[in-house]
Amino acid sequence: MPLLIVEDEPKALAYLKQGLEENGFPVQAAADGEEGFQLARGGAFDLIILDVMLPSRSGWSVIQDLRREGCATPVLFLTALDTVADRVKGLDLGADDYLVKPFAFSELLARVRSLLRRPGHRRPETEALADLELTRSDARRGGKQVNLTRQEFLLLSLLVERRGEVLSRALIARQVWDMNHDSDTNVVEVAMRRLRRKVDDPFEVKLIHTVRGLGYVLEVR
Amino acid sequence: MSWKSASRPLSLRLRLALVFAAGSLATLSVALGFLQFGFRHEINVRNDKLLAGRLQDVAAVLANHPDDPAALAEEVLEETPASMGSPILVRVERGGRTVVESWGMGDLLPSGLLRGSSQVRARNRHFLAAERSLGPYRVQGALDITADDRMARSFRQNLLYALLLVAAGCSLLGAWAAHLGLKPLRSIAESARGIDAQRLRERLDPEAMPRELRELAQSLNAMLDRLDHAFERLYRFSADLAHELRTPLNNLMGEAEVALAKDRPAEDYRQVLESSMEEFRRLTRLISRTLFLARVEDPAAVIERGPVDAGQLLGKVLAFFEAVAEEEGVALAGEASGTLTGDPDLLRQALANLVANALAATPAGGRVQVRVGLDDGLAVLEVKDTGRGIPARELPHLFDRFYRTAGQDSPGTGLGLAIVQSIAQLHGGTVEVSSEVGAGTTVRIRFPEP
Repeated sequence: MPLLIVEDEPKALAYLKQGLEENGFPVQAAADGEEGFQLARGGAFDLIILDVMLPSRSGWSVIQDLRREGCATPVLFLTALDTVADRVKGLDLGADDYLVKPFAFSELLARVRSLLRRPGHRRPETEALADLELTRSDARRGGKQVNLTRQEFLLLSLLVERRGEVLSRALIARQVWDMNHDSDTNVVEVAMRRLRRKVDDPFEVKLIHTVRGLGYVLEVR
Repeated sequence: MSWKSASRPLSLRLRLALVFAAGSLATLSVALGFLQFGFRHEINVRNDKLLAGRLQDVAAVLANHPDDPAALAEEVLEETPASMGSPILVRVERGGRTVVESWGMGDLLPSGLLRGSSQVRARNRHFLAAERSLGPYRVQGALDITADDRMARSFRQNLLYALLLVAAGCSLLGAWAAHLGLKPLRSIAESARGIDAQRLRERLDPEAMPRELRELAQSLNAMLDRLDHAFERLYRFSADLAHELRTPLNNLMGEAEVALAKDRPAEDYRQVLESSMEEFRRLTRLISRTLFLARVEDPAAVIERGPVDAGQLLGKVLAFFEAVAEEEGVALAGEASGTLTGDPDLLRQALANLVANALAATPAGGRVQVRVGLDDGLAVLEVKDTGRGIPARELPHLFDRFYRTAGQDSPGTGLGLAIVQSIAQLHGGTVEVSSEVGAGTTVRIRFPEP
């Protein structure tokens, strides 16, 4: 089922649509609140991506009425309003997640994937990519154990779990270190460099790739 | 007494006028009342004396010339001289029968009317009456005091007019005094009208004010000082912010323009876009930090404080930086004890900013020591490095937004320490910095436990 994007800014709508479609999500678009509301109550969508400030009716009013009518489709809010009160209001009205502009597109993709993931989904015991194997407690490459620190293991787990996705530095910092730290330091770069030294450097096939300006991705190229 | 009316308070001028009028009315009423009473009393005493004197004269004739009706008649019918005022009517009775009486007295004041009375009214006239018994004789006298009454009445009326006149005068005086007294206030208002964001430098002159208003003028001046500083900081901040935005925008525009100026291979465009992403991230960081500062500086900002385990806080921050410290050859260690009361996310961010700064300032072989705990009931977050140190002249500017120490080569936003300070202030605490060039810097956040 497609995603519904309700966004009045044409440029934003265009890049969201393009980006999501290129990542395998079919998209239907609405340019104002009323149109979005009518589409949402009529059609079946997996997820609604909703801007807050919209012409004709606000995103808040749209979600309020959708929830009142019993529509349970997950909603991800996009907004430039980022006070705690705004976040709380959005979540209170029934939003499932909240993303503040400006955001990294990779961040949006990650949230979309996480909202679409079926509940009860569990990580398999062992995940593998090429000759990299990851169990609950250790990592092997080419059958040989790779010695990782706790943080490095967490980092590798994240990359494996989200393989093929470009992960931003902010997302990595939050997931691995629980740090909401838009740091000026190069913590993530350093951690990645050390992980590569152990996971990639001794091997012919490189798995961890830097996407300049965006972040990091684990995949076979 | 309350001057409050239902709708709005009375004007000061009206209040003073009323107070003056009421005060003068009360004082004058008492004074004039006494005056009037005294005047009346004097007249009464004189009249009593006159009447008694006349009866005495008649009694004397009766005593000296008993059985001499001619002498008695002469005495009784004698006209009181005009200079003595109204004539005194006299009647002499013997055994209930009139022996002799003044002309016209029989009609005007019959004997029965006078008997036993001290004041008698007859035919619109007012008499003072007296009686005296002398052997078989009864002597009655009556003094016409109608004129005295009229005089007293007119005296009282004149006093009343005077009273009203004075009261009116006093209320005018009160209004004028209020007007005069409020003049300095009007001049304050006049000066205040001239002050706006562009002219915050103007001040009131407390020396030119009466003593009572000096304090007001001084408080207003102090308020203007504070506003002036706040505005100045705001101006500087917006100027700095615009300047900070200019650099990444310039890079973005320049790169895009050059890239678009001619056809290039796709790889070149990719490079420009990648470079743009870096600038965008810089802009995003700048905006989110500025917004964070704006939010925590909102006077209405409150934080939710809860228990924060010092060991956990330290552990997270150390885990975040340990790899970087190791790469840079800096020993990063810490000690923690106890439980603080604060906002865990904010405290972590503050500590992380401090450690990031310390690591950036410390060369290989150095040491960064972190301490989180309680000191005499104060929560303490301390980061001590053996880095290059900060010259004394730079210390006062450390917390200024966008301030970067000389020789700092990191691409920081210059907002890190301002954020640390805001977080400390949100917890009701302070940040202290001590530093020695070449020996290192210690930054300490301290805030009271609630």
